[in-house]
Amino acid sequence: MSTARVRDAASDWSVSWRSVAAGGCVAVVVAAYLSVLYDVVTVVDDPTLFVGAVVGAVVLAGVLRALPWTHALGLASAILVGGLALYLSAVPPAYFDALSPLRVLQDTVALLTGYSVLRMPAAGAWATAVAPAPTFLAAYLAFRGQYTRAAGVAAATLGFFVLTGDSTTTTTLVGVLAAAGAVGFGTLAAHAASARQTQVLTVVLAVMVVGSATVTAVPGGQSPLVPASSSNPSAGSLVSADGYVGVGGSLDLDPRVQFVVGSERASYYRAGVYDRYTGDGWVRTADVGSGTTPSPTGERVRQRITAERTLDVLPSAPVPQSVSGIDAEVVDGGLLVNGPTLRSGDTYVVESQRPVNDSVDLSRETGAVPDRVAATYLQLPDSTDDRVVDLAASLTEGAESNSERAAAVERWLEANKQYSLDAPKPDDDLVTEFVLGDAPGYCTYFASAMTVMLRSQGVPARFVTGFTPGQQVAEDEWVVRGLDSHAWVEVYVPDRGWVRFDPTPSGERTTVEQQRITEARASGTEGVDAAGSEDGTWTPTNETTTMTRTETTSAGVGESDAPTEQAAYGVGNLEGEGSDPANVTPPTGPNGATGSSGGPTLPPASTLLVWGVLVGGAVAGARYSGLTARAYRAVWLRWLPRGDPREEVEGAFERVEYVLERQHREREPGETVRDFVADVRADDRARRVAALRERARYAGRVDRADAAEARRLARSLAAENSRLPDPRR
Amino acid sequence: MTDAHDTHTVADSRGGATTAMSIPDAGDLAGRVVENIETVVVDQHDTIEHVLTAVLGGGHVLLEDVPGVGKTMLARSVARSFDGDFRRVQFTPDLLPTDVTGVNVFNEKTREFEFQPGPVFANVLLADEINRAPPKTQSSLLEAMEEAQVTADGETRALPDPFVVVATQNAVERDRAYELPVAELDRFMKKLRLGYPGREQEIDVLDRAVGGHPIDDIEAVASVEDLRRARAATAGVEVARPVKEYVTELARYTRDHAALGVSPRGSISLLRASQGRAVLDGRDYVVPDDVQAEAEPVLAHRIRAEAGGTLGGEPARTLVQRALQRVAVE
Repeated sequence: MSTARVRDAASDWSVSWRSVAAGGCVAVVVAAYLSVLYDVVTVVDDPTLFVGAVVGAVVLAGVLRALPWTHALGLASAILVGGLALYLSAVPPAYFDALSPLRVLQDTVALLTGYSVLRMPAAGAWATAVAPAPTFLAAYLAFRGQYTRAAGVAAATLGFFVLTGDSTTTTTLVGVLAAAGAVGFGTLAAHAASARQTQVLTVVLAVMVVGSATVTAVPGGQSPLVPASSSNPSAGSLVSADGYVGVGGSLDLDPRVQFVVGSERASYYRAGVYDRYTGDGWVRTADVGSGTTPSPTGERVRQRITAERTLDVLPSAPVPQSVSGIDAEVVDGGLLVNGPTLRSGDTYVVESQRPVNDSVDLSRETGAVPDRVAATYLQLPDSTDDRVVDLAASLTEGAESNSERAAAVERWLEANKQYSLDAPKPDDDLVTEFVLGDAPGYCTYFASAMTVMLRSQGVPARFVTGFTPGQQVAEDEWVVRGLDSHAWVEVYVPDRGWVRFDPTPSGERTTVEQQRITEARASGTEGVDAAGSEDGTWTPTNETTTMTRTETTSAGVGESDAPTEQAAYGVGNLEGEGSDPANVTPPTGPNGATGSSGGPTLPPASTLLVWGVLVGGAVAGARYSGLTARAYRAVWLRWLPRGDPREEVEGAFERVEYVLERQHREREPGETVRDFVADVRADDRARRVAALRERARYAGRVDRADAAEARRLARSLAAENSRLPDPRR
Repeated sequence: MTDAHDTHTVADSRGGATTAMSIPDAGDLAGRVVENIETVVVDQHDTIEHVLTAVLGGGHVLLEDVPGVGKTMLARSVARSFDGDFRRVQFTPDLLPTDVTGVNVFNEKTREFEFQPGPVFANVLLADEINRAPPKTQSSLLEAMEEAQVTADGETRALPDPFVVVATQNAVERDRAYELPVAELDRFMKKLRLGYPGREQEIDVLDRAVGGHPIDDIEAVASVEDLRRARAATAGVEVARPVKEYVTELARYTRDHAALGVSPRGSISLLRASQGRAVLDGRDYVVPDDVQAEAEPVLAHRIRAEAGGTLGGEPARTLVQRALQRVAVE
């Protein structure tokens, strides 16, 4: 009667509760793809318009939720088409030169096969253009209670960004979980399901988390359970073929040899060039090779590069002109691309020509920068702090040419910033925190900081990853290890091209590198040495420090001849290269955006959410299997209440009754204790407790001695019942 | 003796002024009486106990069954087991109320009206075939049973203490009987059935009846005073709140599931019978087992299971059994 009413009320409540849960899950899926777009927007644009568009879409959906769905679908399509039209109007007209249906198709395919949205021209405008349509549709459907369809729309949108590679593993997992939750809770709400079915759903969600964290078909896929490992043990060289590098977090570089170079002179080997800074990493966009770069005028260098282990990049000294031995292309940006993944022993030969000779004085080059170069290489994210800009302005005050400004910033960084591989992962903007804070950094920090500071002063600059020359083992042979991977800066010098600057101080890193190689040798790691590198650095008869000499030479490779430049650069290289330095190029992996965590900061919200689902699933599973009830019973059985003798006797009897019911059967509702005890042939202890309880309960006669006796008997009965008891239903 | 009591005290048929005997003694007494009756009435142990608990609880008993199974024998045995006054009234269609309660007659000698007490002035009244008498006569018993007093010509006279009515009624020849009114039926604490004895027991009955009837040899095993004190002890038996709650829940269950359920008077009767049962067990407090043992005979005849049906009967007994199964014993 009354219990039935209570149950009805409870089920009413749980139906609405599940509706709220389903709506919340839809909101999470929407938030997942919006967060991807938001990140894109903040890199290149002011997010105000984006936020406004999204909020507007949700509000519109709320207002128009009574609209027939065909109309709503049409409206969403109109929003999408209109947005894309606006986007095209924002794209530089130059892009339309090559526009053709085939090109559009190619671009779409490229996007859907991992071409990051960030690498698109005017990516922020694009994100703002596409965000409102699916958001409107998902919100519209959710407001109408069609959680499954709403989750479908949002999940499809998220899926698009999974394909472009912009959605991180954790974001994707959160989105998938929420989509599953939306479908599950929506269905449960529609059918007014029981609490146990809700528990099953919760367990399923948790299993999804565990499954995706433990069974992965994607090598290197990060577990969302840990906020991106704080080191990258698998990253052999930290140079990747990817269009994206994240920056930050401590690093553990591979001390093993990556490749061996046969060359007449030492050189930095470029593996990646990046133009777009996101605040926590670098992206290579389609614009990298844009603009007309002046033809190289320096010396020609021929390198024969032999891979010692699997290499998915093709390092080359700048600027490569031709390649042989492998099937690869030389693109405008000055990189070898579209080549095969090299196996150990594979060899290729690159002909490069340095942009300028060392003897050229670049400090006089104050010519104009081409528009395309300026448009691409002066980009700064929204998160750039004004104080960084002010600092850069004060540092470059008085300098007239780009190379002078670059040299000034480089000197300042080398002198004022500490080097450490155990750099903390920045919470917000990498450069801002590194430049303004006290924390140390490594090469990517330095290179990022220098690039941003130069850009803020109107100097086109870009972020380059690759390898330092490595250890010289013969007159014309160098061994390059994972430890030698590095990041540096290239500055655009009018009429000359891209000139290398390295702001990383090499003093400290030298020690670190040597130490790690020694450790690796001591611990017997294979592949630390190749081509006789274990015998020590090759020393020419008339040289005391080969590396110093070669580095001096190499510092000039592709560099300016300007005395100031030479001096500034030379110092760094002398120290760094002299002891086989291995500075770092940033951590690889498609999940660079999550980055790595060095400090004791709270894990990101998405990770906490995933953990929350996991814990929720564990709790629900425990409830479903009755484990919590069992555990509670086990404790309850052995923990007898103290206090009033009457309550003690009653408590003791409850335990005894429970034990008897487990051993025999439940006591029927209308069955008296006497009948029950007699029927199950309870032993004397149980009968005694029952008698004590009967007297206490129905005659009110009980004393301390009775209570003590009841407790003792109940405990001895419970002790024989040591197995974890079944839940009492 | 009885005149010494004022009406109020007498109205409490359980004799509040009498010193209660101890519970074990009362239990022994009841046990002796049961044994004594069993020498006469064969194979009716439960029924005899029920009669005893009703007597201890201060109630009246209605025995219903086919003729010849020993109803009267049982009633006489109970009466004979005490040394008090025993009267018997054979209810017939022409029986008048005054034939039961007594009448004022004019005494020529004293020139005054004198009250001639009827058979109701006894410690045990056997009202045989009570359903043969017309309602008016039946209702004359009403006041006597409930209040232990009779009123004749405006004068109220208290009945002796103890006063126990053991009535019998025939379950056959219904067309020649007057159905007991609901109110009167409610005043019987219990309605009991004896049923036919088993085969061996019936042979036993015949064995005993050959020669002389054992009823002639039965002797009193307790005095009226003992009975009074035993009833006082019974009234003092502890009834804890959980038991009261249990009884209340049982009554409420019957009300929820029958056309006419158990009245609060029925609940009181059940508690008193349960007290009697506790005494029989030598216990000074009531446990739910006592209630369960007493529930059917105390409750069933007060329940009309279906609208338009008769009181009691098989449906009512089934309902009581179901109540005992469903209502949780706490």
